Amino acid sequence: MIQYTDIVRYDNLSFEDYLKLPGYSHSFLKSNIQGVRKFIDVTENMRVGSMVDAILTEPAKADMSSELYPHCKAIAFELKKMFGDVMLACKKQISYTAKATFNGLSIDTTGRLDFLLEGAAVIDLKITMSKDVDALIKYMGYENQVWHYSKMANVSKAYLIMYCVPLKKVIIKYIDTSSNMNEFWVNKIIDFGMVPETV
Amino acid sequence: MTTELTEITAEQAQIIESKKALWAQMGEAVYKTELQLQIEAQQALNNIALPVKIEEVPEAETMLKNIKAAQKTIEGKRKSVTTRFDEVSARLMQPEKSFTDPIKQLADAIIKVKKEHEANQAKLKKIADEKTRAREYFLNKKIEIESALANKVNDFVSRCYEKALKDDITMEGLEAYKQDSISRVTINSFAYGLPVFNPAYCAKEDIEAIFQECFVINKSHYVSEFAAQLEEKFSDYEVALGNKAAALALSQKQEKEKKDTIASAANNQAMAVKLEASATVVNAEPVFTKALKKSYEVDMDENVESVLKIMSAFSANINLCLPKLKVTKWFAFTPAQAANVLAKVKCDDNNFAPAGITFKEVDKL
Repeated sequence: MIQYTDIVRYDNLSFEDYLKLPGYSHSFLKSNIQGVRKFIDVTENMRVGSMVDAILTEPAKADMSSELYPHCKAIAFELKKMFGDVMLACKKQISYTAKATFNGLSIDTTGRLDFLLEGAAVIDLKITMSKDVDALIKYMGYENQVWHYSKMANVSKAYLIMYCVPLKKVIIKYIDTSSNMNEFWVNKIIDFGMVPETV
Repeated sequence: MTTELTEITAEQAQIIESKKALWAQMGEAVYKTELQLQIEAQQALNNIALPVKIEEVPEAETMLKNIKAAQKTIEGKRKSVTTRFDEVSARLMQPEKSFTDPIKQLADAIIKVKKEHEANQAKLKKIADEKTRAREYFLNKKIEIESALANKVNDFVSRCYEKALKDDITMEGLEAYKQDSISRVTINSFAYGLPVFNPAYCAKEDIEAIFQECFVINKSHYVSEFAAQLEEKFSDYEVALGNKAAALALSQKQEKEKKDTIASAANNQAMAVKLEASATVVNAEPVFTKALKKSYEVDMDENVESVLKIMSAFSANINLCLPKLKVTKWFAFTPAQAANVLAKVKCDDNNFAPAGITFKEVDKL
């Protein structure tokens, strides 16, 4: 069983400040090579994802002068049409730090979720060029990402609201995060965990 | 996996021997004809003189006529040899042609089974979707009713409090007043109508089971909640008695805040229900069989009117059609190609409906 303790919630924290929080993020843990952050070449698709995210959750950060903006605006509109009311009911871009412990080993973690429906579920937005959304979720480890967010937000459900660009379709996937075990996180705690200092 | 022809029977060996002799004769004939035709062609073309002056034209025209006649003669002689190969080609093509019917039969059988399977799946999906809708409906009704009941408690408590202040209930009479108020609020005070969902695809028992699972409202909870909130509300009654105006104003403010909290909680719950109803679970198992591809074909009689309509639709939608075309010789472009490309555009956009064009949906593997 993985236990989450020392959970601290940060509302209204900028992304830049979030990056300064101490702890391992899911994106680091899934892609690091021997503990070193993997260099990621930002592709146009990633830029689209970030911009749609910004339009919906951090409007002040959306760059209207970008050549990608009209495309991103159209995607954001499609998402709003279907889930605008849900997004309105949610808290946006909440950051967390927490200690995750398994079998006496602990790691400090961070997380920043797109939407939180208080007491009910965490929601993450994804924009994908893949038609096989289920395979993509498995490949990218999104289930592990939202499992971690759920534990920090103390909810047992997570949803991925995805816009599939080739199908021009909004797809929503439910992830059951009620379990206290997650293989990915167990492995990461074993890899990076430390025994807490005794007083 | 194919079986190679390795052993030859005596009978086949005999046939091969006779064929060798015949093909030798054929080879000789081909070679001689080739030489003969080259000679005839050279002779016919050697004497060509291009006219320069108008006086030379009649002679040139006669020459043109003779050359064309010579070409026709040579073509006839060539064909007398090459037509003998036609039968051989036809025989050699026979094995590949024998695939056509079995392939069609096999593909048709697969499509038939897949279509039946998809029809069943569609039926099951309708049932599953209706169950989801029923669940969403009952849960939303529950949220709506529970929100109304929570507001009722809030309202009852505020009214009791305000009445006590207005009626000058003293501290001595307060306990009796509270008990009287509590005794008046029973589960009947929290009556509500039961929601009804009429299924189109599901069995009524299935809907009843969903109702029993989702629509659980505990009326007695609101009775005890009323008593608990009443206690809390009157906990500073002695202070309130001495500051009636302020107490009433504060009570109204708290009532409004409580109402907002109830509305916000109900909205959150409704959004959670919406998410649950819209979501599917992740299933990354490999698909057992690929779904049939739905595509379109132009479905029109083969006549001149259809051709004009097709070419007109192609012309009107040229920008949609061109990216889907690969044409090297535009003068060889046919109405069939135009119809094909219109169908491709339709496959991409189901709403594509050019005037006068009829499409039919076809299933493909």
